[in-house]
Amino acid sequence: MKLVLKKTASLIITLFIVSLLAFLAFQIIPGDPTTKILGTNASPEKVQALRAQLGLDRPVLLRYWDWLVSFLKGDFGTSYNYLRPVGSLLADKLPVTIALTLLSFVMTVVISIPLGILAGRVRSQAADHAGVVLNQVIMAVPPFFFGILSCYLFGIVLKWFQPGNYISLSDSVAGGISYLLLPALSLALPRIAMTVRMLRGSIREELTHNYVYTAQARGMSPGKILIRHVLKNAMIPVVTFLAVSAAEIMTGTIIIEQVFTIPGIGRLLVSSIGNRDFPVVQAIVVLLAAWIMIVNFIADMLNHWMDPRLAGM
Amino acid sequence: MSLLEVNNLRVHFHDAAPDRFAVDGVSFSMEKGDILGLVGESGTGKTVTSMCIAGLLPRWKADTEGSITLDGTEIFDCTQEELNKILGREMSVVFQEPMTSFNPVYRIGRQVGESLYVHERGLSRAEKKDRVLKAMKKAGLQEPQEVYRKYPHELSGGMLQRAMIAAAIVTSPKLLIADEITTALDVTIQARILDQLKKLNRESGMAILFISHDLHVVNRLCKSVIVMQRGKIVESGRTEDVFSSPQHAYTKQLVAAIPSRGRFDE
Repeated sequence: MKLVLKKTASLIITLFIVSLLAFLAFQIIPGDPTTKILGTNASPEKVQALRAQLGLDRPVLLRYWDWLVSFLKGDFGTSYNYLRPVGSLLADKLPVTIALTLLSFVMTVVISIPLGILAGRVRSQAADHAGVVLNQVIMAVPPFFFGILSCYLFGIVLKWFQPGNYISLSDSVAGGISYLLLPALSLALPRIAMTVRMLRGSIREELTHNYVYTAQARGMSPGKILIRHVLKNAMIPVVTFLAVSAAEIMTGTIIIEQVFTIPGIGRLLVSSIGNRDFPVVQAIVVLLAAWIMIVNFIADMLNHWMDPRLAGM
Repeated sequence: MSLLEVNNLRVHFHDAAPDRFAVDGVSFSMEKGDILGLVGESGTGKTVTSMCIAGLLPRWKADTEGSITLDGTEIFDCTQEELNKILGREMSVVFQEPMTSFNPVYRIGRQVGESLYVHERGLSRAEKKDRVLKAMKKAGLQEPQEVYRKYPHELSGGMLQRAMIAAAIVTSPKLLIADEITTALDVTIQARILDQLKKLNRESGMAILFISHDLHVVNRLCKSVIVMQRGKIVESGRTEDVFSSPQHAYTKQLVAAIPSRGRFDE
């Protein structure tokens, strides 16, 4: 309980710092939203009036404080570009990105853990080498390239789906999910390869520990030793890695959504950065940071549950 | 029929020179209730011999010849499944490093009772816990209820070694192989562990094959002793006789090398 409180406090402080940095960053980087809205030929009076209307003429820290208070109340501000509340903009896009992230993360876990166990147990050197080479190839290819390849192969050649013709989750959950399968797999593939490699190494290392010989000396079969003893130990570093992967998958959606023309926050973020639509960008950055921190918090908790030695730390 | 019979055991590791045998023609036997010491310097083949007896020497690592029978069962003829039925039930092994011999992420109670999980599946949770607590008590652990809930890192080396002994005796095996189990412990704890082993041997008739390079410890515990050098037995007999009037030059060297200049403390 003490640990949960400690970690929660640390999570809140980190989120506060990230939100402040995100806010300040957009005050420093070049580009004025009023120029984007009014165009470069607008008169200084008009620009000044709009700055006052948007509150941009007030001191930065005051604006941050107002923004933070509103953010905590669920009011993320109004988009300069769409002239709509950021909350309503995100409400349309966020479920798509979350669905894509979760689908990709589930694929990573469900595929990589059995494969990692298999790779950790395989005795044949030839099979092991083949696995390592295949793994390295998959790891080296970026997700967007898998995305482009799968769009071409499954969309254009095999015509299994129509690239760009995204079916909204609100129209059809099954249709939406099936459209998200390939982008999710493209995002997951390098992560799967990395997790398999990590789990393989972790299992092999654990198999050399004395407690494995002790279990053998008690008459336990190799399969039971793997499941009852080795796996929990081997999974400890993998859980941390999977948390990092979950965070990276979420940020990876920004590009993959462009490749598959998926109307998630990735596309909204890219267009908002271009338009200097700060309220939208700030809200997305803080939400992404919150996701990363929550996932790491869960991983920390899982690791504490799995490894009692961490309890004293 | 002896409890354990080792006949002309030879072990050759695949990565060793063709004429270099880790164990070379070792033969001995043990009866029920025996405590036999196996002594020699590091690398003389003591642990390899014990690993062969327990069937724990990987077959892909070394070739073996000869015969090992435990209560009439030829260990070398056993399949892995048959061997798994013997290990932890008929014969238990305790290793040198208690800290690493336990899995760090599971509680002691669960690990001490693991042989029951493997060999006596019909037992209820309460029965298993009861047997584990009794074994812990027999192994000399004070407050077994407390130890049951602890994790390995929460116990001292001496307590962990006792817990290892408890895990080894929970199924009341006929033979206990103790491989350098007192080496990592301080002298006071060593003495207590040895007393506990003697008591267990006296009360249950469990035979103990005690492997050590510490002649003091062997002298204190074992009724008879085998001295090994370069994979071969160079001398054997009653512990008292071997250590008081060693015949072989190597045994003489070993006895002379102990800090108390060849004299054993009682």
